[in-house]
Amino acid sequence: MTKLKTTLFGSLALAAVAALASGSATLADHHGAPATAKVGEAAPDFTLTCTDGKAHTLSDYTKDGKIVVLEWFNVGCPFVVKHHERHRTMSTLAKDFKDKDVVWLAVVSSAPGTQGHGLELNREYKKKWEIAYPILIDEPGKVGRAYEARTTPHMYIIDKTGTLVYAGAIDNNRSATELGDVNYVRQALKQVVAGETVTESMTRPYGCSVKYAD
Amino acid sequence: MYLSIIAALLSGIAPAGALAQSLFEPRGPGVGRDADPVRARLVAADTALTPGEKTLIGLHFEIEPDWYLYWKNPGDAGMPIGFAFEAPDGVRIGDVRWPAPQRHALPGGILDYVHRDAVTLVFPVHVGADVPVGEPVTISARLTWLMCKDEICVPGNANVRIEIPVAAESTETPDAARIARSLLRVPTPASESEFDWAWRERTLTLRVPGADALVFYPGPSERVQPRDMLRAGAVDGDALRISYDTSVDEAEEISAVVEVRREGAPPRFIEIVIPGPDAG
Repeated sequence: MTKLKTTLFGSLALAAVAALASGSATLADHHGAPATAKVGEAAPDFTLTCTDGKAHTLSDYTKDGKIVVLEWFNVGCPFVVKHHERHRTMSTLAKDFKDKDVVWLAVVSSAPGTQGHGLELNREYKKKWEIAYPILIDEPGKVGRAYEARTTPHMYIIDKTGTLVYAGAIDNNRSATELGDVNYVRQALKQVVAGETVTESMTRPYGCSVKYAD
Repeated sequence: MYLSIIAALLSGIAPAGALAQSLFEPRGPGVGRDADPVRARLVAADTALTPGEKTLIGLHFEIEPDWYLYWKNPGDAGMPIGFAFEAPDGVRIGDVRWPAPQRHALPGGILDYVHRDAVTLVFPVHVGADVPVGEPVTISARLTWLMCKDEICVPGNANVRIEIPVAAESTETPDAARIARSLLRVPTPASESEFDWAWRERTLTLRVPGADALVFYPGPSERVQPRDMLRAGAVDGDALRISYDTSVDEAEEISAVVEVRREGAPPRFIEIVIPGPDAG
């Protein structure tokens, strides 16, 4: 592109940005929208019940000095199968960090009639895949939407202060079978546990779409 | 399972659902009712390969209603169709010409880029001058994909192959029209006069003079993806405003396919590559 073109077009772009800015002001004035998760900000609090019937509240864990990992989960999704059946990515990581004040929680936001939904199904796979951590049921998808969880898996880390410090993929291989050579969650957890800043705090998640209700 | 793979090899048509189920045991509602939601085969534009010339082949997928496959950038979720070709010495398969997808919005603010009903990925085939006439050539491909409908995702894979004679002359096959139709949705590089662009901080404004509506399909970069594409990615008028987060600061360039709609004309698909906001 020539410099001239860019400059000429600059005024158009300015007008466009001005229009956008006024648009976002309207959005900011709009009340009642639920808080959404943003890396570097307070993670939306929630209470969900796991497959054993026990309630889990995020802020109870963080008040107790725990670091919390959230793993969006759907037993039928090939990418979840990859990290639970073909490989033991999730359970291994959860175990490796269990003694370092890290609590791991799977969350199922599948709506009724969609893949991965159902208490019995999730109990069955918790046993089958020997998952030692709780699987939380988010049938209405409220928590999933608050975190803007898009894929299974989609990973989040919340530090002891309740701040969201990581959101994104489990690793850097987007295939349905092979593992990546960088596990972003392991990398971030090491840093959080050591009290360091997470260097790669946002990555692009991959997997099946979360099966929300309309 | 082996039987079905062999059958697929022999027929060139893969029973996708059967293979997928034996490999991954997909579970959940819907699986049993939709045995083979996707079928794949290789098609050729010409009846024969001609030594020293170029022809086209297509990787053709038939997709049952409600199901979809994913573009090279699947969007917020999903996995692109994967392929690995094998061809004998002297026959070279060129880079994919991938038709533009459709936007597909899902509950929860998820936006995917998908192919529905049918899609043909087109590949040039370069035939060496010394490939002997008379001996047919077999081209094969190993395929992997994720097929979804809104309630469920299932992996698929298949081996497909096609045998093509080698001859001094050839004519078009019945599949040539299918390949030609697919090429209408394959983007061509945009000429400089066709569009204007400008960065303002991390927002890219892109204008295509004369367009009545525009759709932006971001390239498949793992690191740099635009925000809020549900709202900003498809607009009436001749200008798109695409915003990025801080990841764009490192970007050398931004690539995308833009669908240009004009009243009374078929859509055009252009490929754009623009320097990042801080590049150069």
